[in-house]
Amino acid sequence: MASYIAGRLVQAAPVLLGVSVLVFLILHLTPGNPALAMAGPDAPPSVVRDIERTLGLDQPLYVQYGRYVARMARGDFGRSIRSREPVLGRLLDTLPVTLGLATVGVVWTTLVSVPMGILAAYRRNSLLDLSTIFAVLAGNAMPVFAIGLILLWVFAIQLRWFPLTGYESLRSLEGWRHIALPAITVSSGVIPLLTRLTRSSMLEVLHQDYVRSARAKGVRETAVIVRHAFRNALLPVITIIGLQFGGLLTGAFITETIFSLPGMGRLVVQAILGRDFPIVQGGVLLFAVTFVVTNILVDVGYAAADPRIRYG
Amino acid sequence: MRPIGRWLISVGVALVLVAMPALVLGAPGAGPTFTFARGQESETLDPERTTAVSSAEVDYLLYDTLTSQDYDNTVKPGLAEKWTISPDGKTYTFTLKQGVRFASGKPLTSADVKFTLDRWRALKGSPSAFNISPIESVDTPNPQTVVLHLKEPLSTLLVNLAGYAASILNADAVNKAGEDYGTGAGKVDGTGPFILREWVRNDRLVVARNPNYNWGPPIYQNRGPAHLGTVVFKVITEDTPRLAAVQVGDAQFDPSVPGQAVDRLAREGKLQVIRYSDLNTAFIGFKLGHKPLDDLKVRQAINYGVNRQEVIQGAYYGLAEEAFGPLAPGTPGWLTGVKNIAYHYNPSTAKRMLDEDGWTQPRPGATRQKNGQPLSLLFLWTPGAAFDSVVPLVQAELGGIGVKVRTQQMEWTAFLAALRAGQHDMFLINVRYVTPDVLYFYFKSTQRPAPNRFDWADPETDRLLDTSRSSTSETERMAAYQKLQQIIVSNAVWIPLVHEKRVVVASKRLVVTKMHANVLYKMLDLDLK
Repeated sequence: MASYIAGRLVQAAPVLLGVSVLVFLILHLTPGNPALAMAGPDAPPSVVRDIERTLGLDQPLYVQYGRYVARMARGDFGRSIRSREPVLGRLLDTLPVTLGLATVGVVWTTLVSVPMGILAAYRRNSLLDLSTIFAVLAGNAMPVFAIGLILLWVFAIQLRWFPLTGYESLRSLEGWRHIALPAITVSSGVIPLLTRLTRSSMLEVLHQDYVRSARAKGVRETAVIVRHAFRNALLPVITIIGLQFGGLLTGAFITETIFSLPGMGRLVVQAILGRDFPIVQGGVLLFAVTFVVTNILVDVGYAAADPRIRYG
Repeated sequence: MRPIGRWLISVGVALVLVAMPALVLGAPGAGPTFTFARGQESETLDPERTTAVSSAEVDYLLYDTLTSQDYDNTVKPGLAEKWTISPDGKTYTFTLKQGVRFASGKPLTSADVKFTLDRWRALKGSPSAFNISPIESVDTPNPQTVVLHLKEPLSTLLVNLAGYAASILNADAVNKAGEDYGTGAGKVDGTGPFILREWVRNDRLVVARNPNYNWGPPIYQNRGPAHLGTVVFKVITEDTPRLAAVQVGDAQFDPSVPGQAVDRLAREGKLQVIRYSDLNTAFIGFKLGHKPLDDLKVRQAINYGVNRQEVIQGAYYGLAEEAFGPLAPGTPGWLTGVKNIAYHYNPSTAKRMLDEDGWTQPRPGATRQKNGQPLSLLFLWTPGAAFDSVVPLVQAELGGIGVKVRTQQMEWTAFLAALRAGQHDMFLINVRYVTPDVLYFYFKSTQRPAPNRFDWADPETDRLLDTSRSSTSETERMAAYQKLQQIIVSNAVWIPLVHEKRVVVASKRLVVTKMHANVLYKMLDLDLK
């Protein structure tokens, strides 16, 4: 297993290098640069040129990229162009907020989707199944920002059950009150997908011979569903949960903005608008690392869920 | 006396002794907490490195400047209690107030002022240092006196020294923090009425009252410690939750209310809705170097084709005034009779002028042509609340007189880059200036290609601009500004559109007398009931 994980990490290196090249090119080849953003509309061209020189933006692209990679290899992400803070520290300050949001979102998604999917499959074509399908379709049709604003309006502004904005550490109860609405919002796009998948996966398994055999042996119905059927229906569900963790990370861009959470998604969006290249480059790379690690964890999870799968 | 009684008395005496200095001076942070909800986070609290308004509104609290800006935008004393200007306008001698201290406790001396101005001028990549570029050297004959020597006179120097970028820094604190200066609590030291306590980026920035402050500018009734104990700047990016935060009492102030909400809020009467002018002007600029905009008649006709009232109602929800010239009313040197020489909406006149100039319509509703060339113009703009509606309105209005407008929406820095490269025929922008110096930046021929994005090069304009900058005679300078506005309007270099009203909402608990051009500025008179 250890050698498998090591191998996967080695394979991740070219992926991350590719991401860094892509982000660098996208940022540098689109019109406009940080010097213009910093100088503002009234500064004469000499000021803009001066800032460009200070930031090294007057150098050829390959020189800029070479310096960037050399710095990254030393673990130096540079400083934010706008706030002058060290980029790595800034990103690591915001990463727990985004990871916390995505993790709570995944847990919430799983807690809602898996039981709903199982029940809908078990009671196929019942009122419960139809209600689930309706809820899934409705959830799928609504954009995340609309759901966020509605939740905010009803539960934070009208009912005052939850705080309007802001973030507290999840070590306190107040932290959970702050994260509740954003987590429900961020998972709203994933719950329909996972519910449908769990339902269809369970339906497939419930018709297998071994399920019929288990029932014929007189195994209790709960054990048939949970131990025999669900365990086998779990593999595709794990895959999607893992992949959607990445989706939740990117979904955090919108959710963090609506709920004013000081997370990495919001930081990177602001950096893109302000052309703060070092923050964008560092942020995207960190997102990519998180994505790669999640995928490795999903693959490791397969082995735990299915004894037939062995690595290494 | 029983032991418990003695113990209680001892504790009481100890508490009084500990609390005494705070009771006398007012403890840092004691007093009401005021929460200011805003859409953007400060970039850095190093004032010389940023042009962001979100940084400026905090800098005004943490720092002071040599001069200060009054509500009517005139210059008043700040850290300098008085100053003299040499007859040739090239030497400024400032006398600093006695007893001023930084938040760290270090006394302010002329060495800090010299350090601040020298650092600003030398700071690589400072976006604002060009505002004091005529300063040649700074002398400090004694700890209370600062002498500025200029290469050439600069009539706006005193105003520029009142801006946040000219905040006086503690030389020791800047040297100690190095590159990290301005990035957080403990890395900022100013003489302002508040002290930075906490900064969780994208969430909250907390400042507490400086209890020793007693050198406030004379524009305030209260020149001592602020009434507010703590000010919390809360970043809420989205308009709806930000406004809701004030409505439910989580915050007491929102400086950027969406136009469509203003009427409703005023009708409901639960919050204070304050409208004020911050001397902004939205305008459409022409690129005179591009044909046919080199033709004065075409520019004048297009000016006649724009219905400002329709723009005000359709895009600004009525919260704007018509603009007729390049300066906003209230700016020193504003031409009072500018309305009489401006172009008022008259599509018939516009069509007649274009007809007379040879731009004819092959059929009604079609784009005008001259010598086979269509009258088609590329109009660049960048999104903003009102601009999203201004652009289609102007496009439709000019379409009505046979001018085809091809609009292209761009992201802000891409927009600035495109203007710098001269890709536009027309562009839409909003500028805010408290001094008539905007005329120098925008119309001096040496300022091409930016910020003179119009290609305007006129020797008479240049001469008047030089006079307005260098003359030490107020009368002569004001006369130059008046003449300049006449030249710019009569040559139709712009389409002046509107002066947008700023709207803020505040809790009824907030005691706010009037709005400053820098919104709440130093908050010295501000209080919470």
